Amino acid sequence: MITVYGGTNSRATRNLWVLEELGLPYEQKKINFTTGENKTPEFLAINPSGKVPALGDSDGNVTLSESFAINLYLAQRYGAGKLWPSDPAGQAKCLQWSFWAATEAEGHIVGLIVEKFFKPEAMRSAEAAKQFEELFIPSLKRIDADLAGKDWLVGNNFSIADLQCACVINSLNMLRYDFTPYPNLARWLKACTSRPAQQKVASMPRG
Amino acid sequence: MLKIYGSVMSRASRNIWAAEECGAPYELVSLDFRKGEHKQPAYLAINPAGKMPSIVDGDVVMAESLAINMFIAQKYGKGGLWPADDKGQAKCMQWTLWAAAELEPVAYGRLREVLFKKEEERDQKLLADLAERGKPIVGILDSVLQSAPFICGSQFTLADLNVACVMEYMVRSNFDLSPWPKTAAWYKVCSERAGNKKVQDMRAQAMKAAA
Repeated sequence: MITVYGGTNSRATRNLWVLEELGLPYEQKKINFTTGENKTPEFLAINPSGKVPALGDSDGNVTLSESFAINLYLAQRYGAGKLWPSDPAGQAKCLQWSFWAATEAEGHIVGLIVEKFFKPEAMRSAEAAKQFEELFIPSLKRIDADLAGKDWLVGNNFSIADLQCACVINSLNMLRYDFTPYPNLARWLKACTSRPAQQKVASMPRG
Repeated sequence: MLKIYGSVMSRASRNIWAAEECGAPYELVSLDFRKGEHKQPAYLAINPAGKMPSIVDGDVVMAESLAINMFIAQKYGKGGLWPADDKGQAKCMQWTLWAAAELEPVAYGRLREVLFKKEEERDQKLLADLAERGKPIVGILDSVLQSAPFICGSQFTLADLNVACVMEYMVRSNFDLSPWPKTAAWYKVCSERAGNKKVQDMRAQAMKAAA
């Protein structure tokens, strides 16, 4: 049995998306940070960082953390020929895009969201927001160029590469971000987020 | 044949280390970033972002240094750098992403300050802030190394290699590992492996040639 640790208000949603795409049975355990449930020895044994999401897979006695790593694990182990391409060239691109999402996109995008959404209005800095945005705009341009004339990032099918990048870029929609300068990216993002698996995760109660 | 594009002074060194550990035959295609070779059309065809490193291996073309190491380990290091069991493989994925997402922003932030600036020009407050941020992160690795010499247990794997090559930035920027003796001992063992020594030798030669 697969257990996802973390609520729908966390990055666990990207793992739920993969599980729904693959139609795998799973259970979800929410971890209460306010009572320190994330710092209990039981949870630290699953994730020494005390963060969510984390994953347990009793088949293979596996526990792991880091949301993008969990998605790679699930795709490689359970998604062959579906989220995980059959050809080595496609697999390599899936690894590349997963790391791109983690290192080039996520930090800057989260930085912008914190600056424009989570901070109290009086503490927001337009200058800081602009700096974060300038750091990821080249990446949006690059994805937009990459998607010219094609539907998906790798090969002809939706893959883990699309899912990993889309879950990061889609978080910009919290800011009603304007994607019109990136028409290919906008079309692709809509195709990703319209998938039944993502729709199902988006409709789950928050928390 | 695996071709690694980049300079031994760049993150390509991580991929050289991985290839050496696996005994994978490889060719290093050196790119001199001071001459802008990574922004020439020949290289941009391989990596449109113009960043180093990239690899070409048959019809595989890819970028992102730690992702490349995962590819090299999976293809050339089965049962060695890439563990045979699911549990070890999952740990390798987890710690590789951990190195990229948790440790690298702090480690590279420090290295950049030290590498590209003279001592008197360095932002000491930034270095101190990053060191403070780094302490709990190193502490997490240290908690795992209490019970075993390597991240996955008794064997050196990709998890160790990928974390160690990022930890190198902490060490090069004079972050003191001595409050975490297990981590300090682990780092010493990793960095003294033959594969990494080869990288250090190549780096020393490159610096000599540039001087």
